Amino acid sequence: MIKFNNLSFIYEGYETECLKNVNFTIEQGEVVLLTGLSGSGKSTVLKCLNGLIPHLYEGKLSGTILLNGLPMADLSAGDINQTIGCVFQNPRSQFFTTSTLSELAFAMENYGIPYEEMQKQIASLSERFHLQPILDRDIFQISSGERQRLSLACSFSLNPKILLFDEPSSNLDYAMTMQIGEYIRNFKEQGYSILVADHRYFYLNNLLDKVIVLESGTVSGIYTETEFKNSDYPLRQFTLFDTDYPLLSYDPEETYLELKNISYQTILKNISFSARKREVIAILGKNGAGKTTLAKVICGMEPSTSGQLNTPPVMFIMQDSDYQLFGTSAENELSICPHPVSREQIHQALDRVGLLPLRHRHPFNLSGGEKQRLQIAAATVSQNKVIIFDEPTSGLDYYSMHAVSDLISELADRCCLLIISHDYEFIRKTANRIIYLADGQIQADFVLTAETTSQVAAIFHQMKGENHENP
Amino acid sequence: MNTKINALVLIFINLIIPFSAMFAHNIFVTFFLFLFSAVLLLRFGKIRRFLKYSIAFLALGMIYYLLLHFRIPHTDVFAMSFFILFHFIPLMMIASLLFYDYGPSEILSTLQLLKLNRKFTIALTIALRYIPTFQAEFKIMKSSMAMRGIAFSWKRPLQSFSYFITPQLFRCSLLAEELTAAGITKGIEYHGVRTSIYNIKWKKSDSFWLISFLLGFITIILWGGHL
Repeated sequence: MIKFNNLSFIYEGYETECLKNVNFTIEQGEVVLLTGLSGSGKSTVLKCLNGLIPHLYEGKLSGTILLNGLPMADLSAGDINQTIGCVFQNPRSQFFTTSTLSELAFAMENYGIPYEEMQKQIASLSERFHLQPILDRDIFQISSGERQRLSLACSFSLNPKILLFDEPSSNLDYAMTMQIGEYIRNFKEQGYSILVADHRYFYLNNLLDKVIVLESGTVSGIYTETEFKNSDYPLRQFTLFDTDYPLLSYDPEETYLELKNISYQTILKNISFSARKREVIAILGKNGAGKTTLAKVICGMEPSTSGQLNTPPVMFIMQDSDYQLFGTSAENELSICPHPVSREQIHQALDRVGLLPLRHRHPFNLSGGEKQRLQIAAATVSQNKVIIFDEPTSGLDYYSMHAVSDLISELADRCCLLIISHDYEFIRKTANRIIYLADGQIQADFVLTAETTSQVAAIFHQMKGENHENP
Repeated sequence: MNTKINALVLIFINLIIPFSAMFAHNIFVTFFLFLFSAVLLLRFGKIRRFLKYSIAFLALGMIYYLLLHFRIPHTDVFAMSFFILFHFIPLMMIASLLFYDYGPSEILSTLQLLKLNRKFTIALTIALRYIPTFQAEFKIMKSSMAMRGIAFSWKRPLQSFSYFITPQLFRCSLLAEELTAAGITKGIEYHGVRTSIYNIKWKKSDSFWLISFLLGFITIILWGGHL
């Protein structure tokens, strides 16, 4: 169905090729994983397939892509979209309209589908993806899981035969990610061809027909799933809970943070816990459990409705770093601090996160992993004793995830850290205490020991709705 | 049954308001535009928005009147700013309906009725879609600035402005790109006749609103104002 023939691409204004002689094929009914480290060219491959290159992103394209035997260069973006459906990574910008009904109809409206046919298709998609309760709602008001189902439904509105997924796991909790895996299994059985670009692939276990590994814009290997699992590629885990992780030390010192019966509207109910220096606490919970709200209450962005909060000034590092970068260079970013910071301190902090050579670069010109490390460097020079990270490994590759984990562990020497994360590997590598939130309440709070590690897996299973022993 | 006013009525009124603000030297024109916009907000059931804009309209009008009446020295620039804002409140009231109560897709389909250039209508729709997203992001950025201890300071206006504007500009560019990509992958550029899930046909009630507006506006102009 898809054939890449020596495809190369250079973005306008750049001198080096982002893709170099890329060759691969995807047959009907295949599920293919496209993986590679950050900057390896995964997103560019997807942009070539969904017509954004060259229709939106200009540059020099050579080689050919055949879509059902026809050169894609001869097809308009409109023609391509009728064959290929896309599910983007970013929940904020993958929707063009602001209402669920409008979004479901949007592609059909653009293609001039008659009103009655649209109504039929909307009814069918709503049933298939369980969207009836949220039809004609504001997209910004529905949950992330509902948004993901809406996104899937929208990609099917024109009955495409090929589906592209761009990092579908990056903004979803474990249960929802596994649900995406189930949907993909279902689509495969119905004969759809599916290409998934992602760093994490546990939800695709035993589903893949092919794994394409990109390295610096070229295909470094095409494997079967078994071959890939046995390769020396720096693998994220396929089976999350079967791996042994070394236990982390737990030697907490003085208390830095204390919450007593904190409530916030109907989202948080009587949350009480304290956190001490050298504790790295993973806050677990499904999307919508109140984790980010708890972080906002702790750092003062939202006032609690009731309860008592004792904390020094808190630093909150959000999932999307773009909202938190204000400097004109990486170096300048670290100087933005309520207290004076010397140039030497800044250089030391940048050096520790490996960004010293990039100190003059504008923060927005750094990659996702580099931005995350810059934020950690900012936390290093800050004098905050309590630091909260919201999904620090979202969209990060294997190496960046490990780098972030190591840096966070270093930070724990002088403060207490709260980490909101759905990333099981990262949690097991970084956290020494777990707090599990569900229905706005703390359901479990324990230190990670040899005896309690199985409870983390149990929490993940419980979040998925499986009948495992309660944590 | 669709009882919503056709977006074209609102777009038309919002095209008239800036011209009247610039050229109509009659305060009653502004009062008429405010009253008509207020009725429209109430017609949509937007009572809180109506109250908010009414308070702003009255406050700006009073401040302008006081500055003018007492002729306080060196306040000409402020008086002019309040005067402009006062005249543009009706525009904001109608624009708020277009931003928050009509979907981009609905507006795109409605504009198609005018057979305008497709590139123009797409650009306008993306701009309208962009504003509510940007507002949400702006709120997050303000919180982030507060957490980093960055507040606007008149002692360091340039630096404060730089902290404030830099992320906004980058986010603007990124958001515009993301929204355009979302539009393209959903066929926004497809060269065919667009259909709509909404009833965008011109209704008798739309004629009523438009004629009421034109009658009122022309009457006020003939009565005392002039363009």
